[in-house]
Amino acid sequence: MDVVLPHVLVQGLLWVSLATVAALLLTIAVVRTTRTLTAAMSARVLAPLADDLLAVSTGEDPTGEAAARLIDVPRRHRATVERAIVARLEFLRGTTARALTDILEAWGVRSRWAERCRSPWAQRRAVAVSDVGLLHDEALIDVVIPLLRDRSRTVRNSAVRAIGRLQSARGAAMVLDACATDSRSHLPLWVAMEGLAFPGAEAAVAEAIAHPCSRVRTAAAHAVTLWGWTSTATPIRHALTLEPEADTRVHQVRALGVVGSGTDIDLLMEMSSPQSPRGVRVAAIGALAEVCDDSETFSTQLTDNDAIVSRAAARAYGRHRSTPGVQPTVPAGASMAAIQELALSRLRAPAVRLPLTEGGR
Amino acid sequence: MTDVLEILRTGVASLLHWLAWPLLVYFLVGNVIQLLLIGLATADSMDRPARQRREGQVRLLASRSVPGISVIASMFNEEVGIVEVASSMLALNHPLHEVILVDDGSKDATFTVLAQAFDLVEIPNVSIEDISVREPPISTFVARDTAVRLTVLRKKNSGRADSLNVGVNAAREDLVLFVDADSLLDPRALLSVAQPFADDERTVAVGGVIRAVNGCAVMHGRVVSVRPARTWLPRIQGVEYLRAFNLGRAGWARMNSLLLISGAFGTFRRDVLLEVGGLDPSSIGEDFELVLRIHKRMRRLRRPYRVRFVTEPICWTEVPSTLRVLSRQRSRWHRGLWETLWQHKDMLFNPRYGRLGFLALPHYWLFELFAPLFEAGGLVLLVLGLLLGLVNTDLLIAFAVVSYLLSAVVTLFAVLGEELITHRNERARDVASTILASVVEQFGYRQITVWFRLRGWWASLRGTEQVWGVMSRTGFGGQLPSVPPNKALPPPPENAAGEGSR
Repeated sequence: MDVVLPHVLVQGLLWVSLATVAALLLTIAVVRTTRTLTAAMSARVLAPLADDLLAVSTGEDPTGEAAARLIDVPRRHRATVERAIVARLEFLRGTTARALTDILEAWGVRSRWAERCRSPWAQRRAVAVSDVGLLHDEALIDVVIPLLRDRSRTVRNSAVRAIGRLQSARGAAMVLDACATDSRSHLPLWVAMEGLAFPGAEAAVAEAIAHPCSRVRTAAAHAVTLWGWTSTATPIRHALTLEPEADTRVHQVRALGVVGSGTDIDLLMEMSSPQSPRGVRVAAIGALAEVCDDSETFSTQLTDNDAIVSRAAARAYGRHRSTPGVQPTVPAGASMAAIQELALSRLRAPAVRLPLTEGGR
Repeated sequence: MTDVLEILRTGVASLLHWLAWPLLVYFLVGNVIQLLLIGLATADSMDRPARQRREGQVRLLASRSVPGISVIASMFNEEVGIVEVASSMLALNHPLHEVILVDDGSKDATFTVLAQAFDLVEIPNVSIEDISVREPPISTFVARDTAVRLTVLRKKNSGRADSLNVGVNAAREDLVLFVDADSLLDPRALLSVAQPFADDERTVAVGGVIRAVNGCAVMHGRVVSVRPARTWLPRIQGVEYLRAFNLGRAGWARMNSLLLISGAFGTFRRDVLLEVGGLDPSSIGEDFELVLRIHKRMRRLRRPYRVRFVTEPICWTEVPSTLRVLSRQRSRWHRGLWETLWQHKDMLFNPRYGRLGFLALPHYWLFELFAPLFEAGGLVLLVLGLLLGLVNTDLLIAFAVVSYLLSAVVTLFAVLGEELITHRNERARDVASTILASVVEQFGYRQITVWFRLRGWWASLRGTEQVWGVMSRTGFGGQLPSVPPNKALPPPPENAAGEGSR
């Protein structure tokens, strides 16, 4: 061993690893100490301002004195107070949020945050774009839109959330465009919904229902399902008859269940027939439950051999039959899966709660 | 006698001559890989600032389009703590989740206590077999208050994997979370694991950090204060878990090459589980095997997919506090590792599987499976060399110190990660205790776990039947539940007994 093992290599490794251990121990100590000191300093800075922050955050500062005191915080303490305000803004809307953002604007954060959105560090860009969204100012949309195509997924997702907060119709259209599969690193559907969750997005969504890319059409239909914009019923109906993609059809059928009416029953019945893919059938049964009053509509699907389909039918059937005091009966020929689902519906039937809702009145 | 010694001396000298360099290279490569994984894990955690993670979770909680999760646990003789565990599962933060408990033929009052606590009522039993199972459910119960989304399925005993498959068949949500019936989950656990699925549609499976609960303060099924275990054995295992989960798995996940998601806490897309046929009830390392099968299928079909890992501690499990139980656990893990790797040997160096075939799997073969063999062989050779005067003592000591220091480096990186990201260690002395445990583990613990792992491997090669045995636990908050014969022991952290000093 002493012949073959190079002393120099082992000695070198020894010193390198010793130095690394020492450096890591030091780093851990520094990190802990810094964290403790930062927490103590934040507490010290925020303690005298706690009442003012509370007053502004709860809208109990009619004279604006508390806000003025916060604006006058010494420059060296502003970073700490800024963090506290941002933490509150994440959960506030309306006038109280406006009062807090006014303080931040008075400190000139707008240009600083906008500048940070162009930082070479993804982490910094992600935080900055989230902050920009908290200002709830649509004029900042031009700062946010380029970040929808950022190379970092975290930044892209944060940009979508910021657009949802800024409530920009142009931003909503860009979010939908960024869902397209041909776009660089397209947005996940769930994240995209966060950028469309405001009334101003309705027009952009209505337009996107007929988009050439199926993924955008899916996103638009999903947004309609979530927010129930009735003005989109006609384009959804039209798109559904032409839609070649089964996945997109599932979302369009669900959307029609939310924004459609009794006139859509025939179309939905067609979608629920065995010729359609399973996902579309299940969605159509769910949609029929929304637009149709007659529980007999589901009698065929209750006997379906596909357990998922018959379960969906049983849910819809049980829902209609679960009127107060009426327990859903099991129709003849229902599949076992449907019978199980109906048993659950019976549990959900408000027979137990009846005295509280009707008899109690 | 002198002749024998001389022959031995010559034999050991030539072995040392031939093996010293390969062993040194093995040691260096192993440590370089560890450092690379540390780098990748760091990059992964830097990618998603804490605030973005939190913001995403808050949004998820309020979202109406969030993917639902079916939390599935198999239970066998869990009457002591099952009500508390079920209540804690039902109370997790998530807008759309259900809990499915599969009673795997318990002999005690597990079902009775659940039925009383949640006012269970029987509904018609339907055996939907999206995944074929050995023992279908005999009866199905739900809570009378349907706001409580609890389903209890009763069946004959057929093992944990089969029970979980039964649960998957009954699951109604898009995502399925496998969890042990005696693990404690962080309130945000479901949000943490749901987020990668929501943020990236390619995600098919997500693993999470599992930590040792020994020593921690537990109240009402929640870990309220994190402390290291009071005795050395579980404390050292706590360090192993810290290293393996905070660095190893996060690093592999960054390369989309994570091969192991612990059955004690693993989330999967239900449709993907159905596609691959669920867990394999005949496999000892069923969790490892499942993830490999998912990778295999996705790569074969050339589908874009991700197997992700979340680095926040979200599941707490009790680690063995006696050597006897530890021995059985490590033997079983290594046996599972060997059998699964052998079963999927076709993936090794197969260009179809890309990084998996050329990086992750060779790593598992070389630095997980063969590690105890190399370590034990190296140790025996060094001791013999020392006794026969063939090894320079100073150099040997220096080599041992380097080995231990490199192991300490890995642990320190894991501790640093904790300090920077999760801030779970409230007291400085707990950090010191963790670091000290990483030093203590080198003296005896490491060597004995090498032996346990070799024994498991040998048992598999000889075809000895796997005996599960009963694992007594000290329990949470002084309870004394016992782990059933069919139950998985706490999840295997890769590199469990060998990382760092290679």
